[in-house]
Amino acid sequence: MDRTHTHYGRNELRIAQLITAVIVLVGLLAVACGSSPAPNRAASAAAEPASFPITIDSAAGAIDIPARPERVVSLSPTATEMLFAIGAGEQVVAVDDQSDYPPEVPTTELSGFEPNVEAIVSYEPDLIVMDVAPPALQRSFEKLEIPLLQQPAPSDLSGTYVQIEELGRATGHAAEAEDLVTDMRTEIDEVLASLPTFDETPTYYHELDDSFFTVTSETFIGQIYSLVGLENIADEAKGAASGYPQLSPEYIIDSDPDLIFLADTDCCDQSAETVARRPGWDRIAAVRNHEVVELSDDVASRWGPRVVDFLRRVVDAVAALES
Amino acid sequence: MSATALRPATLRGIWLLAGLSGVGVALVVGVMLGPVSLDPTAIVRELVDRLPLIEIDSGLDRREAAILWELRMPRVVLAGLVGAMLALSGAAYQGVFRNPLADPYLLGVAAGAGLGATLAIAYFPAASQWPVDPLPLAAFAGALVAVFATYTLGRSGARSRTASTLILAGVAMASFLTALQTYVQQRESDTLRQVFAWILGQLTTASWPQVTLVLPYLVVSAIVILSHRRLLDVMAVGDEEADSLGVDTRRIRLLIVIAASLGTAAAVSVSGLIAFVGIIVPHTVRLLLGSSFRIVLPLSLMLGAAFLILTDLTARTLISPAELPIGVITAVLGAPFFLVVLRRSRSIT
Amino acid sequence: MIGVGFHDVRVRLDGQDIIRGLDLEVPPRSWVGIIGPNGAGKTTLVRALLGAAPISGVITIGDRRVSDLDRRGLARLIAYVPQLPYIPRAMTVVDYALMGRTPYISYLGVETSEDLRVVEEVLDRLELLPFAGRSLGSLSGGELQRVVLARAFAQQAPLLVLDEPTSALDVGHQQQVLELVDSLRREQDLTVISAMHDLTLAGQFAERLILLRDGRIVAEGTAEEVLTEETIATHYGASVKVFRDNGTLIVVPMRAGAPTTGRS
Repeated sequence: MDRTHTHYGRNELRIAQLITAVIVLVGLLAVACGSSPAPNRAASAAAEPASFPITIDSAAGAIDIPARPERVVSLSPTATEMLFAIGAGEQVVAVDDQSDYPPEVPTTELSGFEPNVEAIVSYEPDLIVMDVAPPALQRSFEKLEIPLLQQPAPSDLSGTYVQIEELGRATGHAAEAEDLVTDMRTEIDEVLASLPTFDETPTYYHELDDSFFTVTSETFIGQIYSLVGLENIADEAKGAASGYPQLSPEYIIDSDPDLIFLADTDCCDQSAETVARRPGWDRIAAVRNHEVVELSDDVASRWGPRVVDFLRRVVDAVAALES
Repeated sequence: MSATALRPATLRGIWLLAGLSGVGVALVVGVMLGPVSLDPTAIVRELVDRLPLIEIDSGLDRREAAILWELRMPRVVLAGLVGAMLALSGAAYQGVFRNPLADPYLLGVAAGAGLGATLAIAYFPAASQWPVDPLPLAAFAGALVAVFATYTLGRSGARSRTASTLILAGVAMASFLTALQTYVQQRESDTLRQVFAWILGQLTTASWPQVTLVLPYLVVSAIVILSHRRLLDVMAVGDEEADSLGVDTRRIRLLIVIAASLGTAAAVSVSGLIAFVGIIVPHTVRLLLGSSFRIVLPLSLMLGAAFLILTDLTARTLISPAELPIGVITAVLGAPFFLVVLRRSRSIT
Repeated sequence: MIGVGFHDVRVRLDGQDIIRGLDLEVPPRSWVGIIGPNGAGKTTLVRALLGAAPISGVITIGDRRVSDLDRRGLARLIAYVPQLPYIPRAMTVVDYALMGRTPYISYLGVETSEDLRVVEEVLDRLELLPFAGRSLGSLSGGELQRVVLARAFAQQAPLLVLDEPTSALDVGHQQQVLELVDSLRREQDLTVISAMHDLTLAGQFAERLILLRDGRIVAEGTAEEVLTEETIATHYGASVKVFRDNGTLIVVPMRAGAPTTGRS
């Protein structure tokens, strides 16, 4: 059967050309419509004129952001909180499965812990925020020309402020970000001012899980406690396990901390009662004086705007020591 | 030569005494030392005070007494029990499988216990609320289910329930269960640190209730295994020859595996997966004193207890007040040990 | 002393008929050598006798059926010496020989003075007493062979079953072992069944020969009757010459159609 390829009649050719034209037209329309949705955000009064393109000097290097991001994907629960706190919430299209605050965030099944490039890219992001990205992931995003902003856990509060400002510049909310930082600083100063003075520095033990993993004062959380003027019993193990050592229970009991903060209420169902039931722990000052504070696991593992609430709880606990 | 000159290999009294003393010394050292330093004489007085009908003031305050009795004592005792059991099981497995590198985790016990523990950590985190902590029970159940499944799998082989078939079945089962465990961990990623810590083995949360929980299993297991020491010697010549000598090798293998797995599962349920004890200890005994199970079994029991007590002491004092996972220390000791065993096995088998 | 009887014994393994309808009487106190080409079923027959292979038909030892005996009972009747016994190198000679007493020691019990006495006698008879405390790994091949026999004799079983007892030995040790077995057989009224591939040795030591091929007995009788050139050519497919010397038969392989090179 030979009479095929070279013998299209003129009619067939015309139809083919018509179909091709239609396809191309539809394609162009699709591209035009698919890109930036109508950028009508009357909500934010501080629309930054001409602040893009912008280069952010982050800890992981310079990040170029060509235009105001309208499809931000956040894989860091802390970054999510920060984004919504500075008014960039409407630009966020997807957040990871651990992001849960504020309640209206668009939580998805994306994992910040085991990031899947394809899944992330399926949301067509124009800015990705993560705490730490493995080099392979960084390269993937580079190839796809998607700006990636990495914001690892900082070592103290100043790091939080830096990150908030970074996010502000990156999303076109620099002014709000600065306001937020100022507010946080003010609040923190007020809260700290209400601290009573002590003859002896109160000691504390911060528990990460029920096999006595804790934090030293080198960590972010540890820094917050230091700000309040507390002494960490785990500091003798400084330098061990990069800030997250496992303590011997003997040592904890012997150190007799004045305050115990539980950050394992969710993962391990610990509470003031369970701690009191542990053999030998009922002799600890914090247990005797009912100074065992139950924190939610989240608050104690994030470094966003809610750190102020955390600080307040710590100060309240310290104030209760007085009485 | 008269008949009295000929004797089968026996455990000489002096070695037994040495073994018991070793355990005794380890116990004493383990109780005396720790991250919190306590006055030795006060410790002795406190312990004497605990004996019934004796009341003396030890000089320790309530907190120190609690540290000693509620934390340190049960931990040292548990370390001894777990070490004894792992060493005994290791020796027993080496006997029934005629393989110098067999350890108590061979038939999927480790993988099964790990899966059980992971499931408990992931889906039943309310450990302290329940009247009985589900974690050790889940690990225990997981270990036994794994052994049962391995045995069933081994029966389907052409040469059913022979040593090599069972080992292969055990490897397959362990891979399968480990894969399941990894899957669960991925799904519930916030369990990772807890599971990891459990897998490395730890006696950090040792308590008297744990001791009473595992003691019956360990005692039963040890009695069964020790009573078979002569038969384990006979099984050294292989199934075919041992059968011709009137020994039911398949049944004995099953019995020893059940006993050893029971004991290992109980140990693992409170201590996690402490590796290498089941290999290091029996081979050390063999190197020093001879290969007969009449010597190796009782002495592995004692040396295992002393070994783990001292290893745990190191784990809790080396970077005090922080703790090292005990599995790390046994692994560090175990890796070079393997080389020694390999070198020596070339001349044994 | 007891005899052994095989009555219409068939063994089927992995879908193959290894032994087909075999009938054999082994008289008490005799030495029966089982010969035959590779794959004839010699080893399978031995294993069937030990109760280690599933059979249809009946095997009797004395007046007892093998299928009626439990493992220990069987072990008191048959002492088995495998072709390649496993030698635990760190075990002592005494402990190894004592394992032969296993059928007499209670399940969780230990050796009695009677057991020790029997082993001492056996070691003495086999001239192994000077080696009693030595580890097996330190012995020579010939000494090891005697130790393996010591364990077998310690079983005090009336039937001795040997699977290729000479395959791993040099010519000197081959003789030594077989002479030892023969002396002890006569001293203790034992019945011996041995599977052998060396036709000359089989002819020299066994009183009766059974030629097995494809699971069937194709020839049976004295050495003279069985070891003929035609028989061997037919069943082994080998060309041999059989010589007589002083009443013993010597089977020598002769290369058929060898090129004559004029060498002598």
